[in-house]
Parts: sequence; structure tokens; C-alpha cells
Amino acid sequence: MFVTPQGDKIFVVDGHIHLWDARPENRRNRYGLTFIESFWGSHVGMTPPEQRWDFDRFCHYGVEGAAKDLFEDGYVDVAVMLPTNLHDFYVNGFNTTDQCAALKDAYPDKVILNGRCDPRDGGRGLDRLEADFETYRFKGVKLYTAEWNGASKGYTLRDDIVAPYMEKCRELGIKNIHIHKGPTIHPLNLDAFDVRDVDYVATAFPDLNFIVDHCGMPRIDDFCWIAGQEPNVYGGLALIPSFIHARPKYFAQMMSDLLYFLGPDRLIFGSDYGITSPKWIVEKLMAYQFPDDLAQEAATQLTLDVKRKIFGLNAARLYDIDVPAECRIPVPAKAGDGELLLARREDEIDAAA
Amino acid sequence: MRLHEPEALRAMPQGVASGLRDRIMEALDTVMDPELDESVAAMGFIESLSVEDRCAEVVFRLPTFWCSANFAFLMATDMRCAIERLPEIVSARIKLVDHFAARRINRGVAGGFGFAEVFSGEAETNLAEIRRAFLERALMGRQERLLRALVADRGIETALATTMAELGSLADADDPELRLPALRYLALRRHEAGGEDPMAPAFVDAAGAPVRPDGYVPHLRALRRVRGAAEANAEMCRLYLEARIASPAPGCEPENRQDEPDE
Repeated sequence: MFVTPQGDKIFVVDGHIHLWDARPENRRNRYGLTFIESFWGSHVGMTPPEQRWDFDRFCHYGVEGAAKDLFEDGYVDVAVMLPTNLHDFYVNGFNTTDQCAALKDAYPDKVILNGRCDPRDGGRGLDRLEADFETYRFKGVKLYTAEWNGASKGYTLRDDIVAPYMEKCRELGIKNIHIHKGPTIHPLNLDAFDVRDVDYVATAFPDLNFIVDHCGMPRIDDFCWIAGQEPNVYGGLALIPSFIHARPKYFAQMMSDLLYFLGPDRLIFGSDYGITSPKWIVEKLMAYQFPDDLAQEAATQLTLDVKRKIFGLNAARLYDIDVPAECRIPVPAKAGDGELLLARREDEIDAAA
Repeated sequence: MRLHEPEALRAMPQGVASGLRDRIMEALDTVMDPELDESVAAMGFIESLSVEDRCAEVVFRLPTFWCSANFAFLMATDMRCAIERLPEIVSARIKLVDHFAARRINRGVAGGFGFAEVFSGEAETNLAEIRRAFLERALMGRQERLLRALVADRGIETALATTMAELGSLADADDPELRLPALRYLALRRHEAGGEDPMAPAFVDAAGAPVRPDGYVPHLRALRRVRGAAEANAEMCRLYLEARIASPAPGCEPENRQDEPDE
């Protein structure tokens, strides 16, 4: 929980965290090194110097390290774990559901553990999903459309293989589908970054929520356009708020676009931990206000209530998390909230800009 | 817009006669990262440059090991062409380092192969298609910068009524606030979007239709979204590249470099 200087309490759900193992003994090959090297570049590039870790800790921070960074120092009330297998690069996998379960076991009330699935695995994959669900009872799964799998160099959500998985999720009560649309490994084709397939699956399964992690970066413009039209598409912000220290201007531009197209109710905060820690991002983002021109373009200022939604209330809704009464938004919402401003006519806002 | 990034030029190693080095760097400054619409020189991708017996060798490095192979291939191909156009140079060898597809890309560019041949069975996307898609985005980004400046200078109606002939004059204007964006926009507008007719409207939408004053606001927002995304991507690339150079992960320092593992 974050408490503002005025005493307002903000419930914080970190919607995107990992517990990975990139230690040398777990690396299967040089890819295991170059993969964590790319993450390291992101850590160094985005994190304020005094908050940076050393490389060894970056490769493995363990359950205790994660608990300290998230729950003790990082203001996080609940953390959502998104697994990544990468068995081709790491002997025991990089950040599998089984590995992530160690944090869930230690902090069952503070951790939401998600599963993962790959529609290219056919019937066996469906069985695996069901077996994992029996073990972990997760409410969300993660899909990586650009990931390689055997002869396949990626797939799109338009492919026929996807629908049976969505139906299975529906049947099991898994309602949150996280889709990684962001920087990826082995990006050979333009399609590796395509976000336009989200539109298709979101329309076909209106009762499921589609959280597009990293907001489609580097195709955030396409993502904004698509998400604006689909009420069940959410922006998983991980990576976007990390710009706030090194490139605040671009952070603000992206946030204003996301708020304009998706509104304040469909954005989910994420630190992308352990790329970097939530502590400094939460502090900087809580202190941040749009300059007037960007508030106009966003059709809302980053008011306290908008921040409450992005930091916790939106994710709490998706994952049925109980939010303490003092962190909720009093009903009816006060004038000046995001939604009220959003109702203003588009041309009026832009003419003012 | 930076046409010459002093840092990138300062970083150039010595050993090549400075006049020739400048001309090669100028040539590299015309080679764009298609995704970012910034030159490979301005982005700091050029790591070193040498010339021997009129053969140039350029070593370049991208912000991460996992940057897109298709864009890397396009840039490497364009670098080779740009340098081999110089009369002092007979051939140019382009060497991408520290990248998951470095060996295949370097071999492909040296042999004049196409992307599909080099990555046969892996890549399906047609590079010409990618080039076109990103030129469209670049055109939108450049149009946004010019249009914003022009509207501030003379209002929406007058700005939108600008013809190709007037755009040409703007590119010669004294005011650099207008001249530089006009120059950049003109280059793409004329060659990529068929603006040969001097009376044709300078500002057209993605479908090629003139932008009307009543459609200005949504049009500008669409442009800004595209321009903003490209700029944020470019900043992300700069941050990662700086980090990669300043704080390399142990095992990934230049002396421990391996171009393409396990192949």
C-alpha cells in the first residue's frame, strides 16, 4: 500500500512480475546468457542508478529477494505472476509456473499465480492446461504468440488452433487471458510484433478479458487503436511506466495515448519485476502529473482516482481481489474524474490542444 | 531532427582519412532504421569503420541481441549500397555483431542474397512489404511534425491548403523550424506518395486523399499516435544501446563476443 503525503491510501497490485532463474548453472546454452543480457540492458537503461542491482542478483533474487522488493519496499499488496518457460535456453526453465509457485507458497494471500499455454500443443496442451489448473486453480493464463515451438516460428490469435483453448479457459473459469505483445526473442517476421490479431479473438470471446502485456510495444499505436474499440481488451502497462525515470516525456506521451483510447478503467499497472523494482516506479508515478497539453490529449489528468484505478482497482476487478474500504473510490465519483472528462467531445479537447 | 549526431561522429575511430570518414558517415546518415525513421548513424549503431584498398568495413551493433532480424537485414543491405555509391569505395563489407542472426545476415548481405533466401523456411514476410509499411508510418510521422509547425505559423486552413510547389519552397525557407521538417517530409512525400504534380495537395491521409479542415483534428491524432510510438521506440533503443555499451553483462563484453551461438 502506498500512502500519499496527504494520507490517501493507494492499493497496489503489481500486475506483472516474475521469479526467474538465469544463474549460470541453469543456462542450457549461450542463449541463456544473451536472453538475460537483454533484460539486463533494460534494467540498466530504465532504473535510477542508486536503485540498480548487481548482475548476480539480477540473475537470481529468489523468494526472499522478491518478497523484500515487492511487499516490503515496493508498496505491493498483491502481485500477479506471469510465467515464461524458455526450456530451450534454461535447464529447469526460466520462470515456469512451477518455479513461480515458490513465491505463491510463501505468500499465498499476496500472490496471484497464473498459468501459461500454447495453442500449438493441440490436445496434449489442453490436457496439460487442465492438469495445471487442477494444481494451481489460476484465474489467468499467459500466451506468447511470437514464441517458437518446434517448426513453428510463431502463431496468430486468428489461427483455428486458438479457439479450443479459449473454450477450455471459459469452461474452467479462467477469464483473464494475458497475451505477450512486446519485445520478443527470435523476431524474424513483422508478424512477431503484430497486435491486430487481438481484435479477432476479443470479439469472438466477449466474456473473456484480454490483457495485452507491454501494450503492444513497439506497436503501441496499433494497440491503442484496437483496444479503443474492444471493451474486453486491457492494457498491461509493464514497461511503459518504467520510462518515467529515464524518459519521462515519452512515458507521458504513451500514457496520454493509452488513457485517451482505453480510458482509466482498462489499464493495469505492472513493474515487470525483476526487470526493475516497483518501489521507485510507484513513487515517481504517484508524484507525477501531466502537463496541461498532455492532460488535454489524454482527456484526463492523472487524478488520484485515476491512479487508484491503474494501480489496483482495475486489476482487483479482474482477479476478484478484496480491496480495503479506505482504498476504494467513494461512490458517486467526484467531478473531475477521468470518465467525466472522457465524455467530452473529442474535437473540443483537440481544439483546445 | 538530427541529421548529424555529433556523438556518433565523435565516437568514430581514427585511422581512416578524416575527409573520407566524413563522407562514409554522411552516406550512413542516409540509411534509416525503418522502424524508427532515424538514421543508423544518429542512433549510434555504427561501432567502427575502416578502409583498406578502397574496401570499407563497417561494424554495427544493435541495442539488443534479440532485435528484429528483418530490420537488421534491411539496414545492412542499405548500408552496403550507400557506401558503395561513393566513388572512392569499391566494395563495402557490413558486419553486424552481437546478434542472434548476425552470421546469416552478414553472409546474406555480402552475397547479395534476399532475406527469404537467407532465412528460408523461417521467415515468411516479404521485406518489400515491410519497407512499404514502415515508409507509410515514417511519412505520417514527418507530416505530423511539419503540419504542427505550419498550423502554429499560419492556421489550419492555410496550412492544409499547401501545395506540393509551396512545400518545395518551404524546404528552402529561412526559418529552420519549418525548413527542416519540410525537407524531411518532402523527401518522402515526393518519392513515396507520388507527389509529382506541383498543384497537388501537400498533406494527404493514408488513402492519399487531401486533409480537409473539418477532418484535421482526428487526422492529427492519428498522426501523433504513430509518431509518438516511433519516438518512444527510438528512445527505448537508445537506452538499451547505451546500457549495453556502458554496463555490459559479464560474459557479453566485446572481448567475449560470439556472433551466433550453437550453430
